[in-house]
Amino acid sequence: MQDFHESNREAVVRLYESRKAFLCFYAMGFFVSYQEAEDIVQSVFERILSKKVEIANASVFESYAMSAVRNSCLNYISRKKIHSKYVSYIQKNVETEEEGGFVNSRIEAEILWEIFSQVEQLPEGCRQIFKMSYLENLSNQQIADILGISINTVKSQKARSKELLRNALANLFSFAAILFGL
Amino acid sequence: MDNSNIERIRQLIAKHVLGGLDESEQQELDQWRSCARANEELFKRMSDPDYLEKRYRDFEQAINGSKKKEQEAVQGIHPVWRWVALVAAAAAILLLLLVPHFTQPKIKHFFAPQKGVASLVLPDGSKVWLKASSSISYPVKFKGDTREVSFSGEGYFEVTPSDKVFVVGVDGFKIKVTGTKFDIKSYRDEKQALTALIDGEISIIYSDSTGNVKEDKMVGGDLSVFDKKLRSNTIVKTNTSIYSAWIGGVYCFESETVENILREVCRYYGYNLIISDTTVKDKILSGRLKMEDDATSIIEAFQEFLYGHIKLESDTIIIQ
Repeated sequence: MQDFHESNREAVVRLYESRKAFLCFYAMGFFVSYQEAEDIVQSVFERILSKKVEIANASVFESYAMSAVRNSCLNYISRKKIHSKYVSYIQKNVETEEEGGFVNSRIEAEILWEIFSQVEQLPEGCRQIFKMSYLENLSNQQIADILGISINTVKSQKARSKELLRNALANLFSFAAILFGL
Repeated sequence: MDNSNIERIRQLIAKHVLGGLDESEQQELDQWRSCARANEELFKRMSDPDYLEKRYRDFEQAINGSKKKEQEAVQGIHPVWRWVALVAAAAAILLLLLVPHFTQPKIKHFFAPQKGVASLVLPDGSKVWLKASSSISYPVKFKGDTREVSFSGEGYFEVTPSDKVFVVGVDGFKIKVTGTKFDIKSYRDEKQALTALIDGEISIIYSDSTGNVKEDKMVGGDLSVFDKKLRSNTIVKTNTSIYSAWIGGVYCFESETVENILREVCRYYGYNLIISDTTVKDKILSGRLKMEDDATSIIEAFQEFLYGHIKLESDTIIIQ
């Protein structure tokens, strides 16, 4: 992990550039649009720079930025009163604040981000079938029909994707644990 | 919730999303769920396919977002400059398409077939033999100070010596190598992972149950037994050469139970195992089996020992 002794500001800017997409993704978990998420993340970042918050390293930045993004999102949706079938999820999350709502929202975003990033790295054929099956909820038969392949190929590609993902994720998390001392 | 717990929960939830938690992991996760309402809510979200789909769309938007914004900005300017900008944007996109190849190492995934033994040579010249259904992921080119691969199943490694440390990520721990010969046996459906060091020096790196990172050094002849659930490692002296005999098509075992031996045989030939007579499964055996094209001779050998309690039916070995 980098240390920010040389130039705090420059390091924070670099960090923001590298974590912006993730922070937007995190904000969108509060059911705001991408555009809104981007505005929220941008203003959090400006606040960090203007207040000259002491950012000692990447992990401090991450914690600070995520909790600031979360607070902004909660304020934003309570003002806007977004109606969604998932809004109860968030409300419950807010109610259970003291029980670890923030920690859990963070864990959730991190897990999903890692899984989705790994999905993007799957070989083309695997990825397509994985998405159709797990994200679009199509049956093996439907996928086989759409792609014009046998149902057994669908099954084996699914099994293969799962194995690849599990493999990648198991190592990734255990590696993160060693690197960052989680 | 302390940090080592968070890390464990992450693994369990990720595994839950992808499917494939075993019974004890399921129990562990259930226990965590019952600890707090927030936990149960998180679990529910992660089990909701609609929610996961929505989040995947979010993810796609988030990673593509910045690119789209550039294109929108192009719309508002003078036609000539717009054209110039479009060409520039096209060039930028081309560059974007090329850049990942330089910045992100391309990862290759190698899957051993369902039956027999496969081998491959890694970009650094290291050799790996993989048993049936094992897999390895490695970058097309090793960059930086380490040569890092991830592995599942059973494999025998002959690592080319180099200044760059060779690291194998296995289910729940890592092996740091400098140039050496060793065998890893870490199947996901087994509670223990075995690492037998034939020659050279390696160390096993893992975070123990309290979250402390440990590094256990091993020398030739050492066998590491890593308990995935307790997150503990034990190193014992053993005849490690028997652990690599399989690459030559020979399966050696010492004081192994009939059940374990047959599971190994099934894994090699891609068979299923059904044990309906439990009295013989714990019998202890030592010996060598020659893994040939089919398992008939092995079954015959066992028939003699188990007095005909064993038979092979299509793809299944049955003990009755």
